[in-house]
Amino acid sequence: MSLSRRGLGGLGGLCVVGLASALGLPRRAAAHPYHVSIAEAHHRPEAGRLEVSLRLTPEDLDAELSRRLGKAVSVAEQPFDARSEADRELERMLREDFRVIGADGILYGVHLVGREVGVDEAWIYFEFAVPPKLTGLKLHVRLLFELEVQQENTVNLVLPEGRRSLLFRRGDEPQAL
Amino acid sequence: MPGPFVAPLIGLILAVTNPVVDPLADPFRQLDEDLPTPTTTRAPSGAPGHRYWQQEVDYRIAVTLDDATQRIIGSERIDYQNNSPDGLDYLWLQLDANIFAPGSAAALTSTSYALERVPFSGLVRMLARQTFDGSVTISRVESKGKALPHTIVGTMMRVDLAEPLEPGKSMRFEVDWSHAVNESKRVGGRGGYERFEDGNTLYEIAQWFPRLAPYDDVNGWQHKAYLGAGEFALEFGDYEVEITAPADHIVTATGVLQNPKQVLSKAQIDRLKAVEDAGKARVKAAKKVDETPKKGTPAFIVTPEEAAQTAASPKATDTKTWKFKADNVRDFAFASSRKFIWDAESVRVGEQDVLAMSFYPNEAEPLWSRYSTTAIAHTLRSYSHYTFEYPYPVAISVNGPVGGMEYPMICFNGPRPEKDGTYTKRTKYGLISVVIHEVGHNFFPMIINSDERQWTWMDEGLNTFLQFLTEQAWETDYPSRRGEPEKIVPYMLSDYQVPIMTNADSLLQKGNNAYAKPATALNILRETVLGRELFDHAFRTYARRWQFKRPMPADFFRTMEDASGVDLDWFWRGWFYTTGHVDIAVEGVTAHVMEPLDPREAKALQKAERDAHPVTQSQRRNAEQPKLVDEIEGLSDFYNEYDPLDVVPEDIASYERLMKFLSDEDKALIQKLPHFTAVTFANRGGLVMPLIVELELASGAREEVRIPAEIWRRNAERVTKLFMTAEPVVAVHLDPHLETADADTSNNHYPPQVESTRFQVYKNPKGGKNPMQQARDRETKATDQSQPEAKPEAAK
Repeated sequence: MSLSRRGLGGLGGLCVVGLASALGLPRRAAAHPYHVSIAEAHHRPEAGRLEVSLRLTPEDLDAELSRRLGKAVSVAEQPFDARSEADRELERMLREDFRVIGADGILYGVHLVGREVGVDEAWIYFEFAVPPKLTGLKLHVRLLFELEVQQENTVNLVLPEGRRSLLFRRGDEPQAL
Repeated sequence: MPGPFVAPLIGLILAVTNPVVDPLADPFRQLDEDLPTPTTTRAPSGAPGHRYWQQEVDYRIAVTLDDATQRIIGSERIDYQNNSPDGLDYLWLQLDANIFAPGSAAALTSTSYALERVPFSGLVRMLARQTFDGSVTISRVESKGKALPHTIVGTMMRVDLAEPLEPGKSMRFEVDWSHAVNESKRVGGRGGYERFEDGNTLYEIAQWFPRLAPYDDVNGWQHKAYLGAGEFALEFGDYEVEITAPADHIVTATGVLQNPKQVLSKAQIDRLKAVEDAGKARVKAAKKVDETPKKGTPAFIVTPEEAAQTAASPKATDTKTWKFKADNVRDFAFASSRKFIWDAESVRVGEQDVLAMSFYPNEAEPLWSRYSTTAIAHTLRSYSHYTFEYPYPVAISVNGPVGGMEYPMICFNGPRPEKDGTYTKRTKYGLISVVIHEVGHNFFPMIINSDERQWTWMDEGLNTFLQFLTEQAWETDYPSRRGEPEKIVPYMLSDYQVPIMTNADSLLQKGNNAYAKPATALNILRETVLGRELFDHAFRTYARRWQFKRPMPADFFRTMEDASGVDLDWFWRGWFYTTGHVDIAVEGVTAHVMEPLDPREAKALQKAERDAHPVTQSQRRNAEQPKLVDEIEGLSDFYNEYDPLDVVPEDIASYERLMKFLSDEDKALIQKLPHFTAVTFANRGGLVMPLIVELELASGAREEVRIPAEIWRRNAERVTKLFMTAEPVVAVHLDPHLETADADTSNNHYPPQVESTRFQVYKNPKGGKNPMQQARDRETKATDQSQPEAKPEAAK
């Protein structure tokens, strides 16, 4: 088992981001936006994987990628292509905002498997190579916090010992897996 | 595939139950202990009581929209009719615009977010809140020429009366006020203005005048502060409103325009008349052949070219006053801009022609002229079918800065195409859905006047449910976001929930809690628990009972039971009062066969079963050892040779005696020899639900059995049900149509089936490629085929 890791440096402190969202990029015009994401994360000790299916509203995904890239992007119109600009940015987004953190503070690498983006919902599939025991590992989900002040991210964990949920709001600390 | 374990039938037990461990956890405990006691104003049936009352408030308003300063300056005359049995010493009015005061309760109580990665929009909003003051200035409150003392308490204003307003009496008073209009992009809000790059402005004006708070039989004054999430509760009344706006603006509003000759061009008036005439002609033609009128298409009252020309011309310096009248509405909103395109269509609803109209700038084209008004018309027809005939003369959709917000007869909807006029599939369906949703709000809560500030689900949940039905009637497989049970599962599985029955401002995950979950619950109630006919009757009864009245949650719960004749307390308790989820598992299956009555067949079967029993290791090894009875003569007797499974004459005689007493029908029944399969179901999620069971038979045939949720009434954790079939059951599938929001369908099968997670299905699709990869392959193949083939060179 090999783990791809990188340091945590440079992620703290005040960082005003999202200028692009105020500059005429796609309108998010849902009737009453949810401001939530919900993920199911399965830990498969035998495979050494944490497999994640993440559901977002498609508008949020487009708006976030557009914000990050500084131009209008609509991934629903594009098939998944790991080499494309949008999907490379999507993987960067997951690396920064859906973080599995080791006991030593080192991030586990994320592998973007793919996505399905429809009219009604967007699903993103990614996985982490993790040890058979998750003891000491933490999860920190900061998805879409730059987009929406009231964003809430729920992760339903499916672990060998049972199910439990984690909820991440702005300002929340990493939580034990 | 292992076969079910076969055991002799001991008894025909239809449902084997164990005692309930915790009686307090009984999901069938009646809801009466949680619901308010019925009164003379709210009957036990869920209908309005024989002494039901509600207040009436009529408004006459003159308002000026100052385009130069983006301010509202208004004066209103209010007639308040006290229909309550109580004398009132004071009246409470709502000043919603005070939410935009820098020190408002909404601003002060909004929890701060960490100073990490502040969203730019959040920063803009924070700064705007520091500089923008949209609070209301009250310059006059008078009655009969005398000032009335008044006290402003946040978003509410108490007006003290000179003398109590006695039951049955009315009073008239006037209020003058003004406030700045919020810029929607910077400050947010349910209304506001939008500034365009061409220098023009579009106003969507809502919650803009001092409105009476409700005084009702349940809460007294409903004067909970406006904090932003809980919308509003209001009284019905008649409105006459004069709106003075720049002369080159088109103004649209709740109600019917009273002075078209003063504000519209002759061409616009003629086009409107042509739309109405076309509607009448369709109705006339339909009556001749006794059919439903054909559906129309919208026509322009102001064309895109005319709107563009106005928007590009110098701004008017004079004004026009538009006069509107609206009867029996709970609120009044309007929109104004010189950028408006206007289209209209006459829609027949029952015995009334309704004018469906849309107003939008050229930035919304070509999307809006194609879908907005048609979506309004579709909504009116669909919702009227499920509730009551839409009673108002107009229904309006306006495009502007607000993403989606509803008011009587008028709503604001945000989706627009790209600047180049193209639009995505999602934008198209986003527009259709939001128009359906916001126009649908005319029914809930604009006419069925539930208290939004207290119970979000009563309007958003019921409306989202009908939105789902209406979307599905638009086209096959319409991409609805809410309604299908399986879509609510991830939310119901999470730990961070509050029950649907939670105050509007305390909701967690409002979208899932107040929109999606109740909509899904009602869809399940309709499709799985009651069936469409019973549900539709009960739902329509609720809508008609409470049309133009103010229902509370208990009135809905009680009416649905009263009109359907089905005890649904378990359903309300599970879905509306708890945060449990559905996970019912097939825990075990045993097959039972009835022994043949003929002893020759019965004992042969028993012998076969005995012979099939495995030989133990000791028996196998002992078989070769010498035995004493073989060595000593005389030790072996009758019992060493006796086999109880041998057929003896007494068995035959007994069988023949039995057959003499049986009728031919009984004999025929015995010949069929039914198979019995006992299936044990375990409730692992907590919510009890009906059991939808598909039995797969040996021949490949399938039988579906639908068992009401009451099977759980004695034991909510585990039940066993015995099924009788003509053939052996080889497999059992629970919830085969995914209609109960079962969170874990991997335990719904016998024999067990390995079910992949969504992740695994995507990563390892059958055939090795996911649908997108397959589509890409098809595209590549098509591209290759379209390449010109190399042709052999002509012989020289």
